[in-house]
Amino acid sequence: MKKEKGSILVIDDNDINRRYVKTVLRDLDREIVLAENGFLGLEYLQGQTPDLILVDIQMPLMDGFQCYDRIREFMQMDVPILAITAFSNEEDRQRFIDYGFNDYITKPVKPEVLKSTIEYWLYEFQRTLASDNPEEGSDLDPDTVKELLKYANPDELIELYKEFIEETKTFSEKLAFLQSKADHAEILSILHTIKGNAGSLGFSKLSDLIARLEDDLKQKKQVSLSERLHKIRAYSSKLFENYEAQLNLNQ
Amino acid sequence: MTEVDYKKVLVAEDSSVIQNLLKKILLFENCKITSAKDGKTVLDKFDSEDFDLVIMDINLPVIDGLAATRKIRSGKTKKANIPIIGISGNAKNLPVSEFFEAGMNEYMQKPLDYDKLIELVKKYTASN
Repeated sequence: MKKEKGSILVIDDNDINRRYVKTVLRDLDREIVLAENGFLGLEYLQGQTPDLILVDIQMPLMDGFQCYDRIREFMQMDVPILAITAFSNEEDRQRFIDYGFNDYITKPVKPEVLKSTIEYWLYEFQRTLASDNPEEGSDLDPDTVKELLKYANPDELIELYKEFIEETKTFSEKLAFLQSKADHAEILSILHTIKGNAGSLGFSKLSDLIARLEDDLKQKKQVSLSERLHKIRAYSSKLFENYEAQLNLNQ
Repeated sequence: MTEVDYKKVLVAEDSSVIQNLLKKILLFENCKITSAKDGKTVLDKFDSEDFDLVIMDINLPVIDGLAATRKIRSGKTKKANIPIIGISGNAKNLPVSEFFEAGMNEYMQKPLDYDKLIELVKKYTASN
């Protein structure tokens, strides 16, 4: 894993802001590259891929949105891009997230918030890269099981799985009821809980299936909810029948 | 002191699966877990007992994790500075900066990276 130090690109037309950000981020073990406008920022990006980009929204010539478009579309970079903004009402800020920015930092910038948010994204992006393996969601992810076995013995682990299965069955009944009432908000919230729990226990494929449905519902795509839920139910009941064999705890 | 030196952790999480999972994992770090399944219970327990650390889900019923965090931070005593680690599946796609704005020290996205969680628990319960 030893490689050259990564960098963080900061695009901001205000000299004081740039220096302030550089100071706050100095112990992140990254080279902090400063650019005073979008053109200079893009020039740097022609030769380098930083670990993260921080871009001011209000700039003359090329604003933060334009920078964002060029980085994502022309340069095809998927590194986290965070907006720095003086916009302060929630609706304004939601616009950045809807636009595609991974996060935003509001001015006046609080040093802990800036540093924690950037640390989070540096870590999370590495994590998604690491989990982006070609074989998609396995029934039961062996790495997660291995991880859990560090903390729980096989019997305790089985107990956790049983509890998850019980809880999921109860949720499933609730979902059927909510479906009849077309209560989408509550359905989403339950799906979300199951997804998180499934993921935490290593049921990757189940977690992926639910994530996809969750995304479709959120984007208000026309989906047949009953059909999708039925699929998820059918898959999980098969999964729950034979997960113990897959766990392979006797070795 | 003859008592075993354990750390008291308040875990705010509405899913009992995750509650039990965290119990198992944190046991290894000599932590004693108090569970709360909604934001109101979190605040009640926080007021009536002393803890070393709070692990707080964002999506809690009654009072959500962000509001509960702000409430804790608005306290006038030393307790208001307790370390808070946020966890969530982030259903609403909230920007993470909001969690830190609310006063969380750390935030972890689910599915949890358990090693990282242990690392953070150690970091925040050391030296007190």
